[in-house]
Amino acid sequence: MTELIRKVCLLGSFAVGKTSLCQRFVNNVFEHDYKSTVGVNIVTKQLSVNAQKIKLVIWDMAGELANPDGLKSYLMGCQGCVLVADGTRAETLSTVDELHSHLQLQNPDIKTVCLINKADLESHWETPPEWLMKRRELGWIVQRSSALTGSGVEAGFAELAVKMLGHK
Amino acid sequence: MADLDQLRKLLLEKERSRLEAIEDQLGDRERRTAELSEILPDSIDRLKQDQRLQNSLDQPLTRGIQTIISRNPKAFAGMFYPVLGPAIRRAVAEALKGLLENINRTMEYGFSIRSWRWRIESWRTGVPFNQIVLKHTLAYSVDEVFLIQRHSGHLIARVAREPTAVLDKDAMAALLTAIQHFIQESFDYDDDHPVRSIEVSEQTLWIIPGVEAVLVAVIQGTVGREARQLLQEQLELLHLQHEQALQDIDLSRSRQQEIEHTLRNCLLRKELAEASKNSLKTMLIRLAVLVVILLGVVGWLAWRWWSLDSIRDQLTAGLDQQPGWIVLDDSLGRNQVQIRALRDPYAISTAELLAQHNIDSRYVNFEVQAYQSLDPALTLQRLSDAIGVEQQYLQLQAPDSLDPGLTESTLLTVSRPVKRSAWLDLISLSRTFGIQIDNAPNLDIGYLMRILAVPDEVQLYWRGDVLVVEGKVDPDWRDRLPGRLVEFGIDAIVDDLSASTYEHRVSLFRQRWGDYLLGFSSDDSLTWEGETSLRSFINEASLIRLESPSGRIPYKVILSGLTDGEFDAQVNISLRMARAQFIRQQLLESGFAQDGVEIEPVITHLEENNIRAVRITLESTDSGSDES
Repeated sequence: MTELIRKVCLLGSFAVGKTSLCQRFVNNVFEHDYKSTVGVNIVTKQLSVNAQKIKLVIWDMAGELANPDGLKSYLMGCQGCVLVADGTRAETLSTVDELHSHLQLQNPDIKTVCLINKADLESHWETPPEWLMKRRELGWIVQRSSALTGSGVEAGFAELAVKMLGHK
Repeated sequence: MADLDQLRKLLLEKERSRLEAIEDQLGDRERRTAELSEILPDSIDRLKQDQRLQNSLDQPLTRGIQTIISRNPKAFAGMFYPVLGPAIRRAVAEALKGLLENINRTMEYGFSIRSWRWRIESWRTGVPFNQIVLKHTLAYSVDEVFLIQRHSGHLIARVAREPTAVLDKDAMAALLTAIQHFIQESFDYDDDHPVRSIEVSEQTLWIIPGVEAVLVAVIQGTVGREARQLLQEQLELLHLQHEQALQDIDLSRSRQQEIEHTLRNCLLRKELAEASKNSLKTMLIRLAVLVVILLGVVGWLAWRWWSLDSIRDQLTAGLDQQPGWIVLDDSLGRNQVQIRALRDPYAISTAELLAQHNIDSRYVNFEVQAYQSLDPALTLQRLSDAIGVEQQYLQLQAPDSLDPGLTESTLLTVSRPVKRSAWLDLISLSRTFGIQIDNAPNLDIGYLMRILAVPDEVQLYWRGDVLVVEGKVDPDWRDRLPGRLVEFGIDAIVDDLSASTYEHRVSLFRQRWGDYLLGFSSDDSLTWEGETSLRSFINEASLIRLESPSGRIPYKVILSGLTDGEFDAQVNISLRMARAQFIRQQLLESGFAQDGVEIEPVITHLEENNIRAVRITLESTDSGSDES
């Protein structure tokens, strides 16, 4: 069966853990040193979803590109986005909201998954449960994830792959 | 009939009403237009895959556009202006880049031997020179080509000349697209200013943008602009053939293969054919050049050796002929002839020797040690310098004519009187050289007193070169004494202590030399007597100078040249002047002061003819006591 290729963009504020999620998903590693991404980091990952091979070309975008004006050219031809927020920083949730609205305006066909990262830092958690509930009610796929432990990472990307293939 | 109409009305009233409504609808043009405008977009959408619609619209649309342009060209120019401007600028920029590359390449190869070969080829074939340069210099290979969706970065297809180990072609395609986006975003460039090339190590990535897809060519080597043109054409062909497919993200395998087939045309390659074809020829030419160079070097070395050997032969032969030179060893050095020899200081110098033979001193290295030659000529020169007697008065006679050197029987003859010290030196040197002096006088005082018949009350003794006479002396005997000594070959100063005071001696000097003639012979040299008298005059003046408080004689010497009547007056004037000058020179050399000797103006003595001589007169320099 032909392998399908899909472009996925990883979006979110500074230091929410986009690159760490990427590394965990692609290489199953976590680096404790924080290195800010300049421009775009591109990696690929092959998955099999319901016997369909799919190759995700993941564009790990730098935090400074998380504004709508800077994203336009990068999002062209994009089929899926992972919106990442830092669960310990409530202000990053609003960025996710803005990005989601922008994506809906630019291309309503883009599939999205929202990962609230750093779930391992429970004591610092600032994400209101009602925020999660409200987004789920609106049909978002919102999951807690931890790049450190790996929980919710592969599942999030798999959910996005399923949505992009239109199996759900 | 009425019933029938009634019946028809009852049965068909509904259809009739609908028919009338349809007729109204068809008859109402405005309404029909409105309805058509509603359904037309859907109809076109449905038929856009249908070639028939395109064919039908083709001609009317073309004619319509032509009509509009002919009617209102300005409006069309205004519409196309935003598109045409950038397109023209881009085309001009491309042409200029190509031109600059050609110029650079032409300059680079402009003045080499190879370039002249290419110029001949250009002249022979009629192809412009820059194209010939390009033909010979470009060598490249498009090793790999990616076709990437322009905006999404999806890889549509990839072909490579060799199976290469690209780790992740999809990631690479995305990355190339991301780089484009990143640069355009960072520098605020629009789509009209795409990234055109990336250079990595020895590879160049050409990025050629199309409307839907970007072609990326991985190139090795130096590639010209015409290759870009070829790639551009292939990209346009792909757009023409697969426009829809280039927009899809899920291509069928068959469609992908079709695209790859076209893409393979982009794997261009150009080799320097000349290099391989002519390698053997080039090698032979290089070999020949090497052989010629080697022959040249060997020839030069041989010529050099021959030249140095000739110089050596010339020098050694020349030195054999030179008195005072003994060659101990000769050899050829790297760039010089080495001569090791003994040389008498009186022998010819190395510089004179080389000049005689026209040899450059750079080619000869002399290692010379001094020695004393027994060559007669050099010995005479040495004796002459040692005793201060001109060589013409010295003669060496070898009894055995076969032996030119000095032997114990060689006789030295001195043909003029010399001072006592010179005789003593000669006697000493003769012992050194092992020769005999033919006419050495006996300088012993006892002998002299006996031979000169010196009265008993008179004492003689030598004070250096001065013969001192002490005691009461007959003035006539005293005056004859220098002449007697000269007869024995002794040039001596006689110091007569009998003249007890300096003033008395000065008086005697003036008395004797106050008006004296020095005779000249017919060959215009001093006669024997003249020469003897001159020597006595000089010696006596020397004695007075020794005692004088001022270190000078108290007289100025006035010289007058005299001639006989043999020549005319003009010649005689010259002769008188020359004779006086000669005597003056002798006096100056013997210690007289410059202002102590004057020459009488010749013209005043023309009347005193018939004698070849120089008259000496003395003029007192002591004011108030001039007795002359």
